[in-house]
Amino acid sequence: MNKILCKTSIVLLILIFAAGCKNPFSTRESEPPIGTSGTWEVPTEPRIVVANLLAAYNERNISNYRRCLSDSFAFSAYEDSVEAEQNGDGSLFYDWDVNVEESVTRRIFQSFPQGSDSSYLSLMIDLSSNEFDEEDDSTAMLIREYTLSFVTNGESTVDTTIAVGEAMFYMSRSSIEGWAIDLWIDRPDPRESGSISWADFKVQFR
Amino acid sequence: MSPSSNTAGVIRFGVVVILLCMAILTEAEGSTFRTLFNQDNQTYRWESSLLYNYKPSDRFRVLIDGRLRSTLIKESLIASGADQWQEDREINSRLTYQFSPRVGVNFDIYQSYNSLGQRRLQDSEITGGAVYRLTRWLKFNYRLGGMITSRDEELGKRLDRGAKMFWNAMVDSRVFGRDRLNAEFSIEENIFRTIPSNEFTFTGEYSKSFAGGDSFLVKYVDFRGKRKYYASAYSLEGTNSQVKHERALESILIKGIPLGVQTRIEAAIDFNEYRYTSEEADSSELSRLKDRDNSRFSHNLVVSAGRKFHIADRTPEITVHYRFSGYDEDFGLDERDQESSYGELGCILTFDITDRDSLSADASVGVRSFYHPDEFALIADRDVSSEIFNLTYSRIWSKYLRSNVRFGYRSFDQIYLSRLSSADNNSNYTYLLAPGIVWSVSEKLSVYQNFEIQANYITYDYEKRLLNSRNRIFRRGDSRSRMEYRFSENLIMDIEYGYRYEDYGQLVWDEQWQQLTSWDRRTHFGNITFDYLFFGRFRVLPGYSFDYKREWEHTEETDPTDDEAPIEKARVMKDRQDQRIISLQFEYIFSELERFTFAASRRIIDGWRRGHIRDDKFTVSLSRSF
Repeated sequence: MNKILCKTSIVLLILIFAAGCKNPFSTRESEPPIGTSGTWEVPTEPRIVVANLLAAYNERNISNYRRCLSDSFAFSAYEDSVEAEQNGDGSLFYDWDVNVEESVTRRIFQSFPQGSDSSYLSLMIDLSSNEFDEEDDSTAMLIREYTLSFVTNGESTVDTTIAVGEAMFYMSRSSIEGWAIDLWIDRPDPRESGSISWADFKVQFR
Repeated sequence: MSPSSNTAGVIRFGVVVILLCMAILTEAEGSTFRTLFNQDNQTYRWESSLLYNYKPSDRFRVLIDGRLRSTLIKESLIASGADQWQEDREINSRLTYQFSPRVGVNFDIYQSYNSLGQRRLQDSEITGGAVYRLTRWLKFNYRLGGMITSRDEELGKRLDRGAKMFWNAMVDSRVFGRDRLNAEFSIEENIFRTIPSNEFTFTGEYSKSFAGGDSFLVKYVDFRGKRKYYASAYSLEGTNSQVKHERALESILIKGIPLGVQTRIEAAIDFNEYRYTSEEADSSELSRLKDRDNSRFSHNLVVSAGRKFHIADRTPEITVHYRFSGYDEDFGLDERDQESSYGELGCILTFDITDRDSLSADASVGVRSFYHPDEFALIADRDVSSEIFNLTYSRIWSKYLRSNVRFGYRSFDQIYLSRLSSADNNSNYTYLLAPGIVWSVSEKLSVYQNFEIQANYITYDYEKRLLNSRNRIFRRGDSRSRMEYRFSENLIMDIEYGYRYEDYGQLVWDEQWQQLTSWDRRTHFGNITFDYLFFGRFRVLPGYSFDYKREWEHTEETDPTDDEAPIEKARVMKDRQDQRIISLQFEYIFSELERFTFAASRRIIDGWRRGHIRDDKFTVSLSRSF
C-alpha cells in the first residue's frame, strides 16, 4: 500500500511540475527571412571543410563556422605563443579548444558585422590543393595560405591591417558527422617581419 | 644564428644528454631516456627527453627531467619563405633530503630556452626550501630563490632579475571517521623589477561518506593573481597589468533513494573576472586593453538517476539524466556580450538479453539558446535543438562467429530569430546503419566484414525554390573486408580491401522528396601488412596500401539552337586520383626496456586535380627505461 502511495505521489508531483512549466525543449519562433543566406556544402571531402570555413567567416555565420570544427578541436599558434610567453602573456594561448574558438570567432563577427560602415573584415584563403596535402581514408592534413584584412576606426584614425600566413588544418572523418577540423596550426609569414598573423588577430578577442 | 650553428648546438646538447645518461643512469629505477629524429618533405625534427630518478636511500632523492626539441621548417609554402628554426629546451632538477618524517629540505634548478627566428627567450630559476609537517594533517612548505629572465629580439634585449618566494600550508584531515577535510593555501611572489607577479590560491574540499555508498562532496577554489607583462614585442617600452579573480564552487551528491534508484547530483558555479590596465594612461593601448576587460559567470547542473531491473535472471540497467547549464559573459561592450543556456534530457540502456545477445542504446534531446543585448540580438540570437539516438545490438552465434549491428540517428535544427539571418534556418538529419561480423575460421585465420551506409539530409526552413534548391542529400556506403592470418607465432599477415560509394546532390520536394545527383564518387582502397618477428628481438613490418578514387559529375546537355531538343543527362569523369604508399618499419628490442625503431614510407599520388606528388618520410627513435 505504501509503495503504491509512494509511486502515485511521484507521478502526481511530476505531472504538477510538468503542467506548471513550459516545454524546456521548445525553440523560439523566427521571423521570415528578408535576405540571402549562408553557404554550406556537406563536408564530403577535407577541401570542402576549408571552403565552408571561408564562406562562414566572410558571411559571419557562427553556426556554420562551428560545424567546421570537431568537438575535440584545438588551435595552436606556436610562433605567437612563444612571443606571448616572451611578453609574459602566454596564458592567452593556453587551452584553446572548440569553445574558446567559437567564443573568440563570435566576438570577432559581432565586432565586424557584415555590411557595417564603421568596420571591415575580409578573409581570403587559397583553396587550391598543394603537394604537402595528405589525405587518407579517415584523416587529412591541408595547408592553405590566407590573407585577412580588417579596418578599424579609431577616435581620429582609420587603421587597415593585413594578416598573412599559412594555416595547417588536421582533419578527421567520423562516420556520422563527416569531415571536421581537429587541429588548426597557424604560422605567420616569415617574410613579413613585424606583421601580424591570424592568431595575433584572434587573440585580441579572447 | 645560421641553421648550421643551430645544428651544432643541437648535436652538442644531444651528446651531453647521452653522455649524462650513460654516466648516471645505472641503477636509477623508474628513469627513462628517449631520442627521436623525424623527417618529411617539409620539416626535420629532433627530440630527446630524459627523466632521471635516483633514490639511493629513503632520505635522499635526485630527480632530473629534461626535454629538447629542435624543428627545422624548410622553405615555407608562402613563396620565397625562409627556413625557420624552432628550439625548445627545458630542464628541471630537484634534490630532496628528508631529515626526519617531519622535516625535509629541497633544492630546485630550472632552466628553459626557446628560440624562433631572431627571438630568444631564456628563463632560469634557483630556489631552496623546507617542508615541515607539524602534525599528520598539517604541512607547511616554504621556498625562496632567485630568477633571471631574458628576451632577446630584433629590437634589442630585455633582461629582468628578481626573487621568488612561495608559501604553502596544507590541511589533510579525517574529521570524523570517513569525513575528510582538505584545505590548501598558497602565496607565490615573483618580485621582478619590470614584470612582477603574485598569486594567491585557496582550495577547500569537504567530503562525507555514508554507509550504503552514499556520499557528498563540496569544493571551493579561489584564485587571485596580479601580474605585469611587456606591452609589445615590437617596442621595448611599457608594461601592461592584468588582475584576475577566479572562483569556483562545486558539489556532488550520490544518494540511493527508494525503489532501488541511485541518484547523482552535480552542481557547479564559476565566476571569473579579468581586468587590464596600461602604464600609459591616455594611450590607444589603454583603450585596446579595456576592450579585454571581461567577466564570465557560468553554471552547470546535472541530475541523473539509475536503476538496475531484474527480469528473469537478467539485470538491464537504465540511467536517465537532465543537464541544465549556461553562462553570462560581460565585456562591457554590448556587441561582444552573450548569454547562453542549455537543457538536455538523456538516457542510457544496457541489457544483456541472453548469454549471447546484448543491447546498448543511448538517446538525448537538447536545446541550446543564445541571447544578446537588445540592439545586437538581431543577427546572432538563435536556438539549436538536437536529437541523438544510438543503438548497438551484438550477438555471439558460436565461439567462431560474432556479429553486431549499429544504428545511429542525429538531428540538428538551427533557428535564427532575426529576419536578417533566418534564411539559414535548417534541419540537418543523419542516419547510419552499420552491420559487421567477425568469423574466427581457425586459430590461424580470422575474417572481418563490415558494411556501413549513411544518409545526410539538409533542408532549409524557408527554401521555396523547386529548381536550384539549397536542400541537399549526401549518401555514402562502404564495405570493408579484412583477413588476419597467423602463419606462425612470429609471422602475421593482415589484408584489407574496401569499396566506397558516395553521391551528393539537390533534394527536391515534388510531392515527395527526390534526389538530383550532382556528382558521385567511387573509391577502391586496401592494404597488406606483415608483422615478422626474427629471433624474438628483431621485428620487421613491411606494408603496402592503395587508394584509387574516381569522381563523376552529372550534367545536362542541351542544344542551344533547338528549343525542342530533349535534355540529355551526362555523367562525365571529373577527377581521378591514385595513391600508393609503401612502408617499412624495423624494431630492434635490445631488452624489455630498450628499443630502437626505424620507420620509412614513400607516398606517390597521381591525380588530375593534384598532379604527380612524391612524399617521403622517415623516423628513427631510441628509448630506454630503467
